[in-house]
Amino acid sequence: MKDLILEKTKYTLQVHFDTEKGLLEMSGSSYPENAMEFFTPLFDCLAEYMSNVKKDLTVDIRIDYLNTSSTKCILDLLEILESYHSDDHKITVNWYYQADDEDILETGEEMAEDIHLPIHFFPYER
Amino acid sequence: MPDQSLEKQFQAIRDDNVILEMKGMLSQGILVSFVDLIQDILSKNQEENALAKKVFFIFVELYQNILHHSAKDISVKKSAMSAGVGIIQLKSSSKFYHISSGNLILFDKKNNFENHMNKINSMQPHELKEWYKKTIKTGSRTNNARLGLIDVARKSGFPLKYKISPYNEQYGFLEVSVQIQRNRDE
Repeated sequence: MKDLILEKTKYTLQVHFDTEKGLLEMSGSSYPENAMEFFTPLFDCLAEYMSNVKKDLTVDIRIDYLNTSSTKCILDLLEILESYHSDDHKITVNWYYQADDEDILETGEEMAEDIHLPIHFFPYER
Repeated sequence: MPDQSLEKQFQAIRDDNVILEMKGMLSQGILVSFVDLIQDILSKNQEENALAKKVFFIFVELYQNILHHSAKDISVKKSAMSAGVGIIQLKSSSKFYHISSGNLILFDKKNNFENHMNKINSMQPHELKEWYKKTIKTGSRTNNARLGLIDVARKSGFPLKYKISPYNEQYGFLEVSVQIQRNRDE
């Protein structure tokens, strides 16, 4: 299965889905005009990974800023991962946030309240 | 002879501490430039990162609401460019940043919009949080205007001011104004 690489722009995330390693990395800011259009290739790649590769997956999220529709897409992504998480293939989510960015931490924590996945929070300095 | 109305507008920019204002066709491309400028200005104002992010967030949500939801007249509908039509403004005072947006809204949508805004303004922070979480779970990925305004209210911490004035038979002019407190500890 091919990796998915989406290069970062000023308003879309850098995405690297290494399907061999089972590592999905997302970083940057996301406020595109059409968030769904941006996230669709990632949802497609994830669906293929879950039905064909069927291995563990680590998701590293390092986000500076999300607009509302991008937040909705990230939540949907975590819900899909929640349905895939089992004894056979484990999901680990690492949510990195700038130490002084309480809003991005809160966004992640609110998602973690309702999603039954191991989500770990790590502050980092700018 | 100079255009008096432009001169008045320029004077208003100085009198009201307008940091940034854009009128007319608003596109995603222009937004990206605005975001760079806002980050630069807030950094020069030595604002904390957390406050700068709130200003940035609210500006983007109000701007993208114009982009996606402003009612458009015929000349804009004919344009190939994806854009909204409206006004967006960021200004500062000693204690607040103020972000305002203005655009046309179909009268048909007036009541729903007013109900939504009044519901937002009647809620306590914990109620807004629960409503936000419920709405984001059940909402669509493509139409998030209502969700966006709930989150704007949460980030602002103040009631959202709005006004819909008659424009013509079909449209009203919608103004939304949001404030963000500077120097929270003072």
